[in-house]
Amino acid sequence: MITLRELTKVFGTQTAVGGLSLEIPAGQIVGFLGPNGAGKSTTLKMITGMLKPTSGTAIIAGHDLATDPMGVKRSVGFVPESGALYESLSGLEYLRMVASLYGIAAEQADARIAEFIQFFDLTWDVLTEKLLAAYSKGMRRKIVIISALLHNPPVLLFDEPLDGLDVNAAMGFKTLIQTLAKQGRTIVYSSHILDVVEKVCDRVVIINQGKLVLDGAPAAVSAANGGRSLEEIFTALTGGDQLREKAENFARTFTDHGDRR
Amino acid sequence: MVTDAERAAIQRQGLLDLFDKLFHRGRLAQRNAQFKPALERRRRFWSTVAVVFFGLVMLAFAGGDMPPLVFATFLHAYTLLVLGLGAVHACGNLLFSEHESDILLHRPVTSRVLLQTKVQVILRNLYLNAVAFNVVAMLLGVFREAGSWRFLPAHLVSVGLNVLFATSVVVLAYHACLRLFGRERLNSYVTILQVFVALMLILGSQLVPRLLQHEGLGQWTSHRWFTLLPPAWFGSLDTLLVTLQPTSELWLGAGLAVGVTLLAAWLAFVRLADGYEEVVVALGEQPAARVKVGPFGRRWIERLADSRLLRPWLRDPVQRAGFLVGLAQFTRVRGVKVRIYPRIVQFAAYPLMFLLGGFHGDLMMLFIFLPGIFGLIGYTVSEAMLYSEEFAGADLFRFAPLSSPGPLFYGARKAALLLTFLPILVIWVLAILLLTGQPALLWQLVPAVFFSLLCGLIPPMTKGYLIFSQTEPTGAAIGKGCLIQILPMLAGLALGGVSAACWHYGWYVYFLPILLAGYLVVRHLFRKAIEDQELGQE
Repeated sequence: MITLRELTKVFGTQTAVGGLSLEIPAGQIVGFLGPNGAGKSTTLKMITGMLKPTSGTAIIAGHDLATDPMGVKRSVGFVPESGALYESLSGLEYLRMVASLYGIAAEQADARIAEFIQFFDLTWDVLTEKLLAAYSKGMRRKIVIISALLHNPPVLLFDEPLDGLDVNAAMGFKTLIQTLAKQGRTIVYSSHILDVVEKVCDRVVIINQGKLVLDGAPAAVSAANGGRSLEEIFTALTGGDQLREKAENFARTFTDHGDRR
Repeated sequence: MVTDAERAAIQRQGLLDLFDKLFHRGRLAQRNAQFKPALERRRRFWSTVAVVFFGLVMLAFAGGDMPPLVFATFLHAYTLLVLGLGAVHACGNLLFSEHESDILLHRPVTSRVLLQTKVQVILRNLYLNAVAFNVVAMLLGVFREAGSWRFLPAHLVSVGLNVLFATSVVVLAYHACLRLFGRERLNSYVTILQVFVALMLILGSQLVPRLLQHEGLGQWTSHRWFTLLPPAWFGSLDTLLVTLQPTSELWLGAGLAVGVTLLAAWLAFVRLADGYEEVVVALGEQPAARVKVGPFGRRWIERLADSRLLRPWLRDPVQRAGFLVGLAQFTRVRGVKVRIYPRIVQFAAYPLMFLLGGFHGDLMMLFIFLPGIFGLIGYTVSEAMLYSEEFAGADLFRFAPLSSPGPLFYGARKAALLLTFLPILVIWVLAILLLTGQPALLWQLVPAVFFSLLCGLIPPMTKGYLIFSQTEPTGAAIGKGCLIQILPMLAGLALGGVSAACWHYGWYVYFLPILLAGYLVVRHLFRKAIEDQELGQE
């Protein structure tokens, strides 16, 4: 469903993603991990057609990004990390606008929106009476997630989707994407919360400095690394193994300097 | 089953609705924003009424006996200036927004559709505004002595072309800025463009009537270079359609109006349509790892705050933080720059106006108005310092252990004094020296400076004032601000009157110490009122 071959993105002199190759079949949830600045968001933005790759190919749901970018965009639902919205629109106005971009007629869009707001515990009153600027972070996140799922795409890309969601909403969301995967949708799940990735994903991909450094099922990866947790493997691979000692040393400086109040 | 054509129509309508809302509401809203369609309709209605009123004000400068070509050119000159400001603002918000990539670029919308729907919304709204601005003028064009019923349809057509011309030129200017300077520098140059248009608007609206009175535009039309001025093209088109008496000059002007407008529109919206995708992608792309540090870059700001000259002025750490935040907002944040600089540019334009227009008035009259003008500078800047599109950053001040918004405001205002007040003061000093050749008259600026500093303390006395903590002024806030401004203006006039009288009767030497004492007392009271404000709640 997603095939990346030597996908590369260069900004000026900096290579954000360097020759990434990946094959993700339908029905799989892939945890897409990496430290800050590893190139995760850049990769996702290339897959969605937001960024033009410097070189390499990407085939998404049978559409070649280079020759059929609109086909790719129609097949993809994307939750960006920024959670950007038009804040001066009400929730309903925003979702109707998104539906219209996929050619969904107003009545059909309203019916779908009604199903989503019921699932996400939102109400029509909130959706119609408040501008998005007035929404809590969790509510905004729900709107962004709904806007990614509204057109029922076969490929879903999530960049920190749980950011701001409460425990119940997060639990509901995780069950939802697992069910969607079972129905045959391909899901790429990028997050820094490794416990969730370990539980939800069928496969884990770690990139560092734009290069693939690990690829495998969580259990297999753990077994191959002496039973270590995903967090321990991640820090070892991305150069963070001294972090615990560093943090403990730094915490001591607070006591050394005394109470500054 | 929805066909491809139906899907495209739904998409186009969705985008038109979206951009129309963004045109009127902006992209951001306050965090406690409620959606009230009735209020929105009322706001649109009253803003249209305000535009009609501004059009009426424009007519106050028009002579009743203007020949048709002069009258039409006059109207188009003002319309072009008003449109220019609107087009720069609308294009900045809609066409060249750096924030929409995460929202729209991963949706199945082609760049051509994106561009076309945005342009359609901008043109439609600017045209409605331009018609509202000209509605009284059009009636005048029909019923005045040299008028004709044909003026109404002719002017509707020529205003439409004027809108297309202004928008196309602005879009081309944006493209040029992007291509020449890159997206990192786009914001700076767009602001310069907006300030330039605002300056032209103010100078034009003040100078043209004076020149009309002194020189007579009627004589200008005989000059060959007159045909080079865009307002004259559209004026020629109006006149050609109204008088139906073609002359070679009218044909030339009207031909240029149609030809140049179509060429500019083709370049902006057809020729560059494919390039627009690159522009949107470039605006949405993350910046390169190293962003060039320009003259207003980080190092410049920190060097200024640490300079020997300013260090004693910024000894208080909270004030220093406010100063740095203020400098960063005034030099980097597009919305703040666009809100502040075009508004204060008029105060720098007045002396220029006196110089260019020839100063024939009584000096004492100028000095009576000086404190009022300077008071408005202080008030306007402090009031504008409440708003920023980076308003969420002000949360930092809310949960910091600060008991009052005062020190932050004082620091940010010091930045404002450096960047806005000081340059305007220098311009006034130079203007007075050039106008009068008498350095002693500079003493007349002293009450104006004191008064400006005091007026700048009025906005933060309002409950809930915190620097750069709100998105856009609401309609109610604008109305309230206009009302509050009247009091300082009246007080400024009174102060200016007393100051001029003291100068005239030779009492100025006694007036200045009393002025200083009064300033210190009022300043103390104002600052106490600011420091009594609580900081914490939104």
